Parts: sequence; C-alpha cells; structure tokens
Amino acid sequence: MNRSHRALILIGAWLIGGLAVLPTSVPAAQASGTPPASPVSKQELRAPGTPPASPVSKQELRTEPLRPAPQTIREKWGIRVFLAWLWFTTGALLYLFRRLVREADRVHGLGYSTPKPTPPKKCEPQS
Amino acid sequence: MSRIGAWFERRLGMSGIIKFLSQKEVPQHEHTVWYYTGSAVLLFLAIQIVTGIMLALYYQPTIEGANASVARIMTEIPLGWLIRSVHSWSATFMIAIVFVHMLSIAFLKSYRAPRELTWATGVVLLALSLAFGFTGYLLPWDELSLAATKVGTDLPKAIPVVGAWLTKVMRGGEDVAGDTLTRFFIVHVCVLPLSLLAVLGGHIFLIQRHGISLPLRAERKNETPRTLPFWPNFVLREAMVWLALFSGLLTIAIFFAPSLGPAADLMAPAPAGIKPEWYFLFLFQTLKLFPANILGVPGETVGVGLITVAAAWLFFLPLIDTRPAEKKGRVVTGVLAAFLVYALAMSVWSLL
Repeated sequence: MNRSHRALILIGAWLIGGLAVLPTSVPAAQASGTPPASPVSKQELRAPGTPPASPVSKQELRTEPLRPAPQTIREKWGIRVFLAWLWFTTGALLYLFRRLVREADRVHGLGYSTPKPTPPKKCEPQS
Repeated sequence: MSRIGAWFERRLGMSGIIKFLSQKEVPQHEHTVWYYTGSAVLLFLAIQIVTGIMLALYYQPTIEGANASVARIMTEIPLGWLIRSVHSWSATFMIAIVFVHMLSIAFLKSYRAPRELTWATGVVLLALSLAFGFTGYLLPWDELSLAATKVGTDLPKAIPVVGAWLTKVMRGGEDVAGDTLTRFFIVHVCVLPLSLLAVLGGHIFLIQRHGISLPLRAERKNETPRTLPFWPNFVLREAMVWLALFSGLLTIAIFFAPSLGPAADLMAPAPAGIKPEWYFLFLFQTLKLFPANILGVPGETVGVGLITVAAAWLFFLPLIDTRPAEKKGRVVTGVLAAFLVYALAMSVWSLL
C-alpha cells in the first residue's frame, strides 16, 4: 500500500465521519419567532381514529415570512463545525487531486499515457 | 471477477465506450478553462435532480397544501431547509453557468461548422433551464410567486392570434389558480426533465461526434494544438472544479437560505415590488420601457416580438455567421458584448 492509497483511505474515513457529523450538527430551522414545538404536541391533540391534522391549519396562522435560521447557540455552532469540516475536507481533496494531476501530466509528458487510437482497417472487397 | 466482467461485457459491450474515453483527448490552450463550464452545468443538474426528488417526497401541488408543505419541509423535515436552499441555489448556479458556457462558445466561435446542431441543442437547453426556473418559482405558492407568475403568463397574450390561447393553456384557465399550480408542477418534475435529458443526450452525442472545438486562431494557422488525455488528466482537473463549486454552493446555501412568504391569496391585490428571478430581470425591465402603443400596435406586442427575433437570431447564429474563419468574429463579438452590457445594465436598473 503506497502513500497515495493511505491518503485516500484517510480521506475516505474523514468523509464518512462527516456523514455522521452532518445530521447531528445541523438541525432543522424554525420560523423566526416561533417557539420550538413540544414533543407531545403532535400526539396529545389527536384522538384514536381521528385523521392527522392537515398542515394547512398551521399554515393559516402564519402571516410573516418563514426565515430558515438556527435558533440556538448549539445549532449555530453545529453549522460552524460542519462548515469547518467541509472546507478542511475540500482543501485536503484539492491538495490530493493537485498531486494526482501533476503526476498524470508528468506521465503524459514522458509519453507513457494512453496510446493513440489506431486508424480503422479498410474494408476488404468480398470475393 | 473476470467472469462477471465478461458476463456484463457480452450483454452491454461497454469496452468500446471505455476504449473511446481512454483515448479521448482535449485541446490544451489558453481558453481550455472554458471547457470546464460544460461539466459544471452537469454537476448542478445532478444536484438539482437529487434535491428535487427529495423535495418532491414531501411537496403537495395543491392550493391548500403547497405553501404549507414547503413550510413543513423547512421546519419539520430534518435538514429540509438545507435541501430546499441547495435546490434553489443550484438552480441559480446552473443558469449562471449555462449563460457563461453559451457566451464562451459564442465568443470563441465554437458554433461554426460542423457544430451548428451542437449550438442549436445548447440554445434549446438554455430555454429549458429558464423554463425550469419559471415553473419552479410558482411552486412555493407565496404572494410573490403568484404575482410574478401572473405577470409572466400574461406575456404570451401579446402575441397575435395564438397569444390568448397560449396563456390559457399555461394557466389551465383564465387566471392563475390551482390548475396552474398542478400544471407547473407536472411540467417542472416530469415534462421538462424528460425533455432536458433527451436534448442533453443529443448535445453530448454531438460533442463526442465532432470533438471539442479548437480556438479560431489555431484553426486559422492550421496548427496542430497540444492535447491533454481526457482520462485521467482532464477528469482530475474537472473533479477539482466540481469540488470547489460544490463546497461553495453548500456554504452559500447555509448562509443565504431562501425564505418563504405567507401563502398566496387568490383574492388579494398584487403586492408591491414584484420581481422575477434575476435571469429574467433584463427582459422584465426591457418590457417596462415600451410605451402602451407604438404606431397603433400595443407596446407589449412590439417588445415580445423583438425578444422573439433576438432568440431566433441566437438559435440560428451558426447559419447567420457563415463568413470564412479569417473574417469571422468581429460583428458577432460586438453584438454579444453589447448584449452582455445591456443585460447587466437592465438587470441592475430593475433592482434599483
């Protein structure tokens, strides 16, 4: 296993780690000025056998624009952590790709890259 | 593994495509940077498709449910606000890069023979991208989107003979209502994607058929330009561009997530400050400049007629600019530069 393979595995592990970071650190935004919904609010108002409330009933109450924004300090920091991870990963991958490009260009410059296509054979007249 | 590969090879015959890609070469010169714009459009298209499918899982195309379902996506669905923001911003990025791609081809005169059909399919793809933007704008069903769609669907009325019929077909009736929303949704998620993929397939086939064009200067001098292998040299460079664009898109989507206005009321008067998306601003401002009547003809009809002529000129550009390579360039470059300055000035004026 050479250095490039090890670097690829490390970056892959880092990326997969990010998948775990993203859902936990960036929660859904809420309408500005709207208090967070209590965990029982969805269940307690509905009697058994009653159809679930349509989202329209909630919508009718809203007259202000809905602005997606983090509501708590934890959410804000979650986004900052995610962005830091994103740009660190981007930087690392760009560095790796840059090295691969240089290597590919060097091989191409030496004339070891893919051979030129051979011209198609001419059709022989059938006897 | 080799047996599995051989099994697929017998059925799919992929070795020919792999061989073609491994032998494909890209011209290398000072304008090679513009070649990346084509694949960048594909990147944003892929993001649009993925995020669009995710949004469609929760979206309800009815008057009662449209705005509420978008609000639900933004507030209740995990990361829904981010998915919506990425969808919205990638549409903006895609259309911007489509414009850049088209202008770069026009300035480099890459539409010249034998690539006339490649250019024509590209112009159709631009029109389809704009149609995506127009139909998608109504889907949140808020005050602004309703008012902008009313203005937008009113425009075809200015076309003589078929105009009123066209407006009625677009709206599904006399006015923008629930049927319009359903139509726009179906067109946005079904008709346009299928059309776009079909035309895009033709566009990519033509690019492979004729190869990437050379700069006019190299062709004039009959030089043999330097080339770069498509795989891995060019693909790796493209991957770097994709990565930077993707990270930029995600960052902008987080910091500038679009808001959602209150649900549209069909009986309410139009709100003040109606504006279309940025890519329609110059057309919007142009139409505002026309007086009500010009020599007895409605000003709007003259405006729509001129826009149609400009679009036809763009579509038929390779057939209009048929001068030989040594004389090609000056007039078209001048017209395009003037158009670019005009479109920017009109857009800024519209925003003031």
